[in-house]
Amino acid sequence: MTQRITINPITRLEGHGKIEIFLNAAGDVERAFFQVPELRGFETFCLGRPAEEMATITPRICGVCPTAHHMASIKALDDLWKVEPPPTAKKLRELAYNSFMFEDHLLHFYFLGGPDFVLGHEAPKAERNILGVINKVGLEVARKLIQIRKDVRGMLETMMGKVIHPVFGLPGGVSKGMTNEERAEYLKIAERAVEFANFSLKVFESIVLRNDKLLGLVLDEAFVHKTYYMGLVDKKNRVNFYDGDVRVVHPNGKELEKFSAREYREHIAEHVEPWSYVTFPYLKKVGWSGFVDGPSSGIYRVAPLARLNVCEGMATPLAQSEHNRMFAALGGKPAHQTLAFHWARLVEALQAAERMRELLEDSEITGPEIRICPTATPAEGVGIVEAPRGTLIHHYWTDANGLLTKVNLIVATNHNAAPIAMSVEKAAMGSIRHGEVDEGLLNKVEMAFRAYDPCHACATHTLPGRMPLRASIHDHQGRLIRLLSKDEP
Amino acid sequence: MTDSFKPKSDSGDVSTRRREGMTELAGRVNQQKGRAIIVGLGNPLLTDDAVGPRVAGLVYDILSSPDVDFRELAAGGVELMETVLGYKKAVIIDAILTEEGTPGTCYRLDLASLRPTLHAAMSHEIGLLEGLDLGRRLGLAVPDSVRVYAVQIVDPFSFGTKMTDSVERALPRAANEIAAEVRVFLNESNGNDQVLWIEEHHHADSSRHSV
Repeated sequence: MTQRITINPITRLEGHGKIEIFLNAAGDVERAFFQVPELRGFETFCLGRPAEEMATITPRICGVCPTAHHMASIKALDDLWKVEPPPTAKKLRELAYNSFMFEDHLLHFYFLGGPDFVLGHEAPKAERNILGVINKVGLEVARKLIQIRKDVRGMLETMMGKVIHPVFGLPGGVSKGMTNEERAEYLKIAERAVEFANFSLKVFESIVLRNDKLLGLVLDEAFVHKTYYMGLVDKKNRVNFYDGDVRVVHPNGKELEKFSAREYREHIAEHVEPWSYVTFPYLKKVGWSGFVDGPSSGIYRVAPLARLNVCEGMATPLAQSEHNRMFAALGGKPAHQTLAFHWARLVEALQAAERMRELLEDSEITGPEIRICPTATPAEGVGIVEAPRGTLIHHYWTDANGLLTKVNLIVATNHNAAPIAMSVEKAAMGSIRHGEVDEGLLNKVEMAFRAYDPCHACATHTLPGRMPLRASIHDHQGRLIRLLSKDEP
Repeated sequence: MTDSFKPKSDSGDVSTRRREGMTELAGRVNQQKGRAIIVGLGNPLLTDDAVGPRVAGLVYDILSSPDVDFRELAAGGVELMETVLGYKKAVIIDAILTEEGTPGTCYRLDLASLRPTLHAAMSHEIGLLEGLDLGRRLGLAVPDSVRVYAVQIVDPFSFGTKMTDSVERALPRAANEIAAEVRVFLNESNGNDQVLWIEEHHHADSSRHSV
């Protein structure tokens, strides 16, 4: 039996990004709220399970950052069982993690940030997409991207069993070592990765930095927020994606505090709003002052630009040079331009590629000792890594048998939730004056939050692959006066 | 006590069903592949969102053909495109929520209804058609034909490894019905669901085939 019916994309799984805008009596924006559908009950779902399962469960929270969840989980399990992985295992983990950062960052730059930067925000709607980007940069560049991504993911598949749902890390080490033959093969891939990251920065320079309009967009005050910043750093305060202490800098760039993973709850609190399931983390030391920026507001940002603002330098030489160039162009450090997240992402991709090469040049990475079996009685463990989208915290509590009694995860998009809300509100303010709504409202809103590369798990696998945006505009009496939507028929 | 963790697809996990060849995936797309691939889209930890991998796994078992591979995937866009590279035909099975659908109802989706994403906001926001078109423009071996099924579900938002009763009950029937259609589709010389490339397709009423 066949029936023809009309599919209404509204009813597919991805849900909507909803923006509620409330105007004051003068017709200007009073408040704007950005909401996305949220998944429910993950922490409850975990309770009673053996803690070691978390390394395979958490990558399934979201199809976008599985490796980040896997790595944060494994580090939390190391801490839970108080076991220090041997040097070879640490190097293998760091290699896998930098490889993941490299390919994820480049994918974002070309396919997601690309339409804003490579084509420009004023390009016709029909061209502002991936295919438009390819037309601009050329098929050869896109082919190179797909090829290097394929090479790196092939390497990850061999190292980690699966790319999307890794079976690699174990408490105290990893499940598989590396042969000398593999090392030689991967080193060639790492060389190509460095080359492609460098090339991508040149693409950015030639297309964006040499274009006054596009550079002006990066520097545009409409996309500026002077906030605190947070990220992992190594002992020399250099960017580290896999390990280190959490460093927080003031909007003026000076260090506010630095703490270990285990201490995060002494420094971060979470604010709750009645209109969102998402919590809004803030710095305890500064306090919650609402959705505002500046030194008196405890709101902070994470992710690429935050990490570069937080560090005293990059961990690798070529990335350091690009770091210096970026901050010189942005007017010094810290840089508060939200759209510079895209640029910082490329600098980080270069560091990730260089670090891949460094690790593969180290013969210890093929060492035989890849795990120390844990023997301690578990109780509590915390693991932190820098996901592509920012600081990712896993915190587990167990009984003496290792069964979970409590779980707390703070994901990158969580940290950035308040800044994203602020950026959306600022974009709305710039587009609505005296009750007149700029038709480009949704474009500007999208650009504002796209820079953060937010990860809303609800949309991880949808076939249309988009999250329709809807903006409801209410007058000062709360009445709906306008409904704007995008990517709906 | 919570139910023990057992990915729904473990009845045929990707690493063990066909499967030697399939673990080679990303970097070795041209090695030892079947002619067709069945992809189950969904997250086995999100209650009914598991329906794609569950039904796809059953369809794979029913077809029991050495020429057909199986893969579970919880990602769209570029990764989905990369997953189907090298195959002549691809069948994708996902979950769907419609306002009036009965849990367990299977739909065959018209590819034209999966319109391309023009404004990707997040890294997974690249549509199926857009991903395939990207692959084609890059000269990659995208399938000649793609067919998409979706199964009506109830709850894709709550974490849990148990699907809702109505969806669970409908699973065998859904798998059998889809398998019957897919068998015909795979035996057709060129398939009857041609990929509609972006520059060619126009938006029309999406058709569903209720099987």
